[in-house]
Amino acid sequence: MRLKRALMATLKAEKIKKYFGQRKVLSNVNLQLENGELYVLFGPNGSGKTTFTLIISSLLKPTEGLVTFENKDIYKQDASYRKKVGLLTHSTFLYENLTGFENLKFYGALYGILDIKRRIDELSLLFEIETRMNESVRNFSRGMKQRLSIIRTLIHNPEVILMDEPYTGLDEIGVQILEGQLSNYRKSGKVIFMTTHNLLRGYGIATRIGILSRGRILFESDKKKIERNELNEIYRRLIRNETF
Amino acid sequence: MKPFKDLFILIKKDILNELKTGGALISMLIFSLLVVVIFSFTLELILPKVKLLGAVLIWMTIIFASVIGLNYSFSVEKENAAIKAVMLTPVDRGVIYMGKMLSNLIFILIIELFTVPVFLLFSNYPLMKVIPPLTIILMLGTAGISSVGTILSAISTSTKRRDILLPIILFPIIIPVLIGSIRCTEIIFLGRSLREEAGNWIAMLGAYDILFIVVSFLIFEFVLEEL
Repeated sequence: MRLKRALMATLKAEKIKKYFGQRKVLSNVNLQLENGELYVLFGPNGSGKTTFTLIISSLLKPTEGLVTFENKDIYKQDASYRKKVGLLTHSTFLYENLTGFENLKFYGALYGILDIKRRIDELSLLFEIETRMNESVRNFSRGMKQRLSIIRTLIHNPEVILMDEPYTGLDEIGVQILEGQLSNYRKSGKVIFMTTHNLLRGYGIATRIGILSRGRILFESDKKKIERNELNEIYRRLIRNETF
Repeated sequence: MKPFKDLFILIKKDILNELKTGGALISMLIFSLLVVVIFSFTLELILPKVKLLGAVLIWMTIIFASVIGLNYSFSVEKENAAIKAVMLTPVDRGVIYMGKMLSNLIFILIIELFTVPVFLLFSNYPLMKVIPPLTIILMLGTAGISSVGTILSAISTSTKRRDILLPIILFPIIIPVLIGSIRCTEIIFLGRSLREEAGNWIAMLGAYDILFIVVSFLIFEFVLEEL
């Protein structure tokens, strides 16, 4: 199974280590993501989820290890990989003084989207913020900023979608829209990677799950092979053992 | 063509952002006009040959006003880490530098557009005679300030004391530009020919601009990784 997955993997992280100064944040992390898969990585605060997400996005270089997309080193692909990646993080990546529309138009233009207005209209309608698009982002609530940031992530229809704690600030409707959209993207064959510490939500949407703690993936499984309660139990046990 | 298109998009965003807030431009403009007006009046009272100081005065005003704008230029990118999303787009990292550098150049030139004529008027320089050659020197000197200032602003913006760090690291590096620009401006103010007396200085300013633009373009990728 592992060999088969390794051969099919589209996005592959091998032996990733990351140090910030003397502090080790990631320790020998391996991960393989296939098309049409939604991988959810669970982990407590400070476990290294954000660092790992940034590394596979190409924004942060690992101290050691290799990340490949379609068998090519992502740091040697330059723009061709970046064009295919959509990244959502704790930071919204939005310009506060510009309106929602201006923000999306700016990013859309940098991705070379031809009919930007149509794409913005389509996504803003889908995420139900179409009436707020001409307001300055500074006036948005956290939840509205998150919705706009999700649209920014998806504006160029990326093949690889990376979301670090995407539920932050979202209300129930926002969560449902996001999960519906991610589910559609997964079915269309995109690679989706998500981190969260919300076991309930993450388990619900995942096709494969992993648990990261203290910079190591301690557990990995296909969702089909594990019940939610079982995952909950394993998570608690692993995190407790790691902490104490 | 794509790099030029990207460049246009990046500059347009900076101008739009500035138009919405006026944050840097208004501060730079008020500061530079105040300095020029105050010095024009006060120096005339105590120095009979104040015109000899004109070149120094105008360039000191420009450099201090530029620091205000340069400090602001990357702080807006750091807010919400927007620069990271720009880095993730397929735009060449060097083009991101060029976009920021040209935006800063435009903003400083706008300030000069208001400040320099006011200074010339207050100091009774012959406007029509001075402005054409002075425009060339202003362009060359400002390009130097902007090219070095943009990369140093990106470096200093991640530090805690960025407001004070930028001038500390900028001023020593910018000294050749300042000396060259002041020397050329002095020649213009004294009514002499730039072509005959400032050929070497102009060549030095041009070489400095090209050198720092090329080096900054090449190393900007590494600077961005630290942002």
